[in-house]
Amino acid sequence: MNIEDRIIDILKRNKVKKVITVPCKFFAPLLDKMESEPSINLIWPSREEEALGISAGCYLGGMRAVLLIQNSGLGNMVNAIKSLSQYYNIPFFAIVSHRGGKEEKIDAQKPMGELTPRLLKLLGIRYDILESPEDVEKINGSLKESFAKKESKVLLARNPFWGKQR
Amino acid sequence: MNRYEVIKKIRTMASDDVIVSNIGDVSKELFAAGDRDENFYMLGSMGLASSLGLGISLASKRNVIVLDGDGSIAMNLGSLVTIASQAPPNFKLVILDNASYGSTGYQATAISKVARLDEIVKAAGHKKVYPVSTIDEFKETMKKVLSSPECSIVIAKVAREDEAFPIITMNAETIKDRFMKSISDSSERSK
Repeated sequence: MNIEDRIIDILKRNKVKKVITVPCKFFAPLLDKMESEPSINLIWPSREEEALGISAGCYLGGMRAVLLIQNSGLGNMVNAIKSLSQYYNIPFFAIVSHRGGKEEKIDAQKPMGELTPRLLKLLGIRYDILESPEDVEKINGSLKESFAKKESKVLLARNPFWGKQR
Repeated sequence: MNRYEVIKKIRTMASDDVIVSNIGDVSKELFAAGDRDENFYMLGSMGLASSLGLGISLASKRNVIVLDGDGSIAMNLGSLVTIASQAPPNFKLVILDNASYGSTGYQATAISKVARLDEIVKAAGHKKVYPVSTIDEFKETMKKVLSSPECSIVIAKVAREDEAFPIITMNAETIKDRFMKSISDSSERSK
């Protein structure tokens, strides 16, 4: 199975019904596959703060949702993370494309890319790194743990996690 | 039309329906109109009431009534588009339009100056949009909206006045826990 199919399989096994996304070209093939996956409903909010609100609503209603966003979007979510997610203790799970690394072609991605791990520490959000295709199983373990412990988790996905340079 | 009057009416009409209320005076007035487990008071994150309500409506069979303001909708206009793209039949947004940021001292909102809120909502893709300006009109409209399985937006023109109720001091986790418990009997809607 390729990485996209493996991720979809993990989401399905963990009963994730909603994927709330603001896209990244690195996971564009994953989004294409999800569009034709009947058990997953893709939701396209205008920005990431809105995505967090929708995810929190799904949680209140007892439905599993996952955010699929870029790390720049974490900046857009800061107030909602503090005053909604953490204030009410409503956990979220996010797979985040971590742009701005050594291979990054777009220079403007670098400032937020460098800040991202420190920002997550400051916000008190547990995170893990996905950096090779073998790390895909970490998604399964993290999802199970996050849902069981009702704890927010961010997975920072960096190339070559997505399998080939995109 | 007075906002508290509108909120009291909604509170009376909501039976099994959940209510999500925007930060500030709207939440305070809903609390005063009648606290119950199915009320979710937003105490922070201005602008996200409609997003939270969308998530709940996708996960639950219950009608979800979101009480929002014109200022908070302006803060998250994209939400109108996202909601239209999903159009859950149980999603009911009530925009309490007092043309101002009431909770911070009635500064006029930019959206009240030259924009047409009803046209914005329609252009976002919503089919069921109901602008109302009297309490009788509001009551009749809500009756229809709550009994029909269609994603609906009611824009209630209200006066620039509030009831100066106290700040809600209920613990946020308590608000969440009792809310979740109250709707947990509704199973997932298959989509």
